[in-house]
This record gives sequence, structure tokens and C-alpha cells, in this order.
Amino acid sequence: MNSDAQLVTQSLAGDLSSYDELTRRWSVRVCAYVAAKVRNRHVTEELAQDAFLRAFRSLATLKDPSKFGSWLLSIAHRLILDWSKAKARTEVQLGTGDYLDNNAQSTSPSVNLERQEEKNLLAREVSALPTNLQETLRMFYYDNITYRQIAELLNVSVATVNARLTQARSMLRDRMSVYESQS
Amino acid sequence: MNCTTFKQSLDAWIDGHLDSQPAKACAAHVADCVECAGLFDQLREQDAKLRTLLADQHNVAERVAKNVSDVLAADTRLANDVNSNESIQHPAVLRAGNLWQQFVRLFGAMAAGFLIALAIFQPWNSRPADVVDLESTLPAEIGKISVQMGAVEFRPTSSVGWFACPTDSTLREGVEVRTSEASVCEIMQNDGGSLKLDNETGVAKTSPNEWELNKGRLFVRSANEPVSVSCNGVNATVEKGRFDLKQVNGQTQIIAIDAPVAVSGKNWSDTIPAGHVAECSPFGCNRKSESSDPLLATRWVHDIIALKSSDPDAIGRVDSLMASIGQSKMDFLYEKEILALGPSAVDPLIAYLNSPAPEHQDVVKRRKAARILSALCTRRNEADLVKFLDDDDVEFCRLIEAGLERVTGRSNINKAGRPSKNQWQNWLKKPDETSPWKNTPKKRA
Repeated sequence: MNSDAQLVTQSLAGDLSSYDELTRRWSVRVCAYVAAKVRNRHVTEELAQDAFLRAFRSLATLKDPSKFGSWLLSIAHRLILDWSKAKARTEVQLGTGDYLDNNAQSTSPSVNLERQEEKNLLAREVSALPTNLQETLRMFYYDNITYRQIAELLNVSVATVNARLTQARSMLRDRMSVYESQS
Repeated sequence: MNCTTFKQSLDAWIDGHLDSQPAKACAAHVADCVECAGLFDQLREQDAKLRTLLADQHNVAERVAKNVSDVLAADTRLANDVNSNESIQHPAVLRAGNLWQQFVRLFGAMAAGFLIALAIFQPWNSRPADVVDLESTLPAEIGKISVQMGAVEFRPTSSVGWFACPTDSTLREGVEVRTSEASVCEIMQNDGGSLKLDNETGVAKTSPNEWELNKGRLFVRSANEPVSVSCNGVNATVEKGRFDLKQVNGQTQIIAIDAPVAVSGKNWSDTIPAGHVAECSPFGCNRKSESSDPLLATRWVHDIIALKSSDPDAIGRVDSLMASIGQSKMDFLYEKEILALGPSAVDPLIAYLNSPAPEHQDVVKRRKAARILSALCTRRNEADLVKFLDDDDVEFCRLIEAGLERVTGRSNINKAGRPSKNQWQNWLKKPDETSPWKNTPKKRA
């Protein structure tokens, strides 16, 4: 498998398939990172896509090709900040569960309201998790991704991934149990 | 395993990231500890909920990757089409607020599509360019069906079905042709060589200059290029000659007509001299005597030659058959075979009679040739026949005149009692009274 640095060099030489490979390799991480901050599916998709296209346009300015991942995330981070400022100026602040609201809206009226309410609460709590925990959790539930792959993408150890997942689930369990006791 | 260790390992166990030994220990602990079993159920239920909840994001990253790839590819295409690098420098993003960029890209794509369509169809050119393109994608043309009788079928490749194969059907590399129990055909190759297929015969073009006989019987004639035919592990090749090939009792019988045939099999090769017949298997070749009469042995091809007005095979065949006349008591057989060649034997017979070669001057043979010619000639041959009427041999002239009388319904005998060449020539110059266009000048060959 080619390294990031090799793929960047090939992309600069005009090989679009190399950039496609970079995009596939980093799309999970970028989407999880953006989703953990913007909490809206459509905005996540739009900003992640924008980050990859901007990175492609500025690829020649990347001094160390081996640091493509962190450089890409910094571009995504700036886009998130820009989006947050624009949103603050033009829109009313949305609820924290926005990322998953569309799921709730798309369900049929016959769906059990209680279960739907529980789902919305869980979605809200996931969005309220600390960014690093939320990011790891979202990446883990990405289809067929393993601890090792997450560790490589986040540049942490497998044990750290395990610890973050354990902590995230534990926090969710505690918060959800509060709702259950209230109801 | 105690409860503390179990709780530390629980997430990894549920996620399937524990080795087999710790996983077994976890399972054993759940079976023994009610509290940990409850925690395990709680966590597993939560895991299922999270999986359902976050399932929607599975496609997000894939969609992003695909969209980025599509946008970059479209921009590159557009940049190439309109010879502009601006687009690749600023790849547009598929976002709702970017309608103007989308419109520009759409308009550019439409303009590029129009220009490409204009270049492909070339409406100012009467011959569409795509015809040429289509031809270039097809396998090389090798020849056509020059004549066929009965149900003949072909298929371009083994991956498609069989189609009816009329005369003049174009054949290409990789083609297969087959005849039914009551049909025959001839494949005329572009290099001048030909293959005649008997009843219930199947052949396939396996490579340039090479055919494979799947079943039945084949008569091969090579003109400018050698022709090879393989059958049951035996390969036969002839250069500027003819041979007959068929399957007999699991063996391949080859009759070399007028040129040596190179044969080969598994680790062996041999040559069958002209006029010999041999039976070959993948392991060797059994030479037979030359007693077999190759022309009579391959007279099945006469049915095919008779379907044609002229045939390169007919010339050599008539000459050979005429040469055989007078050499055995079976003359009638040779005459019969020339008659069986039908109209295609007429031109070879006329050429035979016009030839100054000494072997063609034998009186007996010339009379036999004249008799056969009289039986086969048509009105197309009137002028050629009249030219023979000044021959010194009166019997020969009478035989020729019999043919003229057969096709014209008239006789021109002079006072000396022999056919009059002058009268026939005068008749040829007059308008044809029997023609429905009697006022138009008579055209003769």
C-alpha cells in the first residue's frame, strides 16, 4: 500500500486516482471529525467534501507530504470555524441533536413514540460527548472499521481507542440512565 | 476473572477485539456473576441502539469520497475539452449556494458535448464517420460465403447463437460455419483460397490461415497463402494446391490432390505426396497407395462447383478429368463427372479446346469435350462455339453445331453437309428475332 506521501507526490504529478485513494483513506476520519463538531449530516458532507477539494487545490503548498492527514484536518477545522461564524450570523442556533434529526423525521408515524424519543435522546447525548470521544465513537460505528484502523487514522494506540470507546459508552450509559429514572 | 477485570475488558469483548482466551474468561464470568451479566446485557443493548442510530453515517464518508472523485474528474475533463486550466485550479464544490458555478459547468459540458457530437457525426460529410469506427472494432474480414445450398448457418463467435448464412455473407476471424444434412457451401477467402463444406460439416476459424474441422468433410484449396486445417489432433497444410479432409472411424483421412500436403500431430510430422491418400491420428500417419483416384474420390465437390457459373477448381478439374479420358476403361465415369460440374465446366472446356498444347490435340478427347460442351453450353457461349466451326474435324464441328442447335433452335448446314461458320456468324450479327427487344441491336458475348 502506498504511503500518504507517495500518493501526494503522484497526485501532484497529475494522477487523479492517487488523490481518490487519499480521499477514500481519509474520508472516514474527516467525516467523523466534522460530524463531532457540526452535528448536522448534510453540513458534515458538504464541509468534508469542501475540505478535500480545497486540499487538492492547495496540494502544492504542502511542505511535508507525509503530514497530509493533519494538514487536511486543519483545513477541515478552518472550514468548521467559518461555517460556525456564518451560521451564527444568519441562523437561529439549532438543537444539538441536529445531526440525527433527519432520521427521526424520516420514520413513519406508526413508529413507537417512546422508542423514537429514546433515540432522539441518545442522539443528543452522542452529540454532547467530548470531541475526541465522539469522533472515536462515530468512527467505530462506521461500517467494518476496526480498532487498528481507527488507531492508525487518529494516530493513537489501539489501547487508547479501546479506552475512549469504553469511556464514551460509560458516559452515554450514565446519562441515559438519568433520563430513564426521570421517566 | 474478577468483576473489575471483566468491566475493563467488556467493551473490547463486545466489539470482538479480545483474543480467544480472555473472551472465554469473560463468557465464563458472565455465566457466574449476575451483576456483570446485567451490565453485559445493558451494554449490548446500548451497542445495538448506537449501531442503529449511527448507521446513517455509514454512507456519508463513501459519498464524500465519490463526490470528490466525480468533481475532480469532471473538472479535468472540462479543462481538457475547453483547453482551460482555470477549472482544475478551482474545483467547484457541490453546495447549494454555488449555483452559478454549477450553471457554468453545465453549460460548458453541454457545449463540449455538442462539439464532440459534431465531430463524430460530421453532418457535412455524406459518409458517417461512425461506420468506419464500427468496422475498425470488428475482427478482421477473412472472406465470404461464395455459394450455398440448403440450410447453412454461422456464428461470429462461440459466445453467441447461430444465424442463417446466405450467399455473400461476410465472415470474420473467429467465425464458425456449419451445414445441415442436406446442405453444402463454399467459403471463399480473401486471399483466393477456398473451403468447400460437405453435408453435416462444421468448421471454425481458429487463427489466421488456420481452420478447425469439427465434423464432416472439407475440400481445401490454397491460392496465394498456405491453408492449414486441424482435425482430431492432426494438422494438414497445403500451399498452392488442394486436399480433401474428413473424419473416418476416429481417424483423419487426407487426400492430397495436386500438391504435397504437410501433416503433423503429437511429436511427429510427415508429407503426403500429390495423388496419395493417408489416414492420420494424433500419433502417426499411415501412408496408403496412390491407387485412389483423387478426382473421383472427391467428386462430392462437383455439386458445389455446379452451383457456380465459374470456379477456379473447375478449370483444373476439367483438365485433369480430360487427361484421364482414354487412359482407362472407366472413361464414361470421367465424362459423367465433367457433366456433373454443370455450367462451371463450360469455360474450362472452351479453354481446353482453344489450347494449342499437344496433349489437347487428341481427336478422341476433343470430340468428347465437344460432346460435353454441347450438353452444357448456354446462349452466352454462342459466339465461342461458332469459332470452333472451321475445325478440320467435321465430326467435331457437328458436335459443336448440335450444341448451337440446342440453345438457338436452328441449324446452319451448308451444301457440303457440314456446319457453316459464315451462316452462323451472319446470324449472330442480325437482331435477335426472339428477343422482346427485337428493335435493339443484339448484344452478344
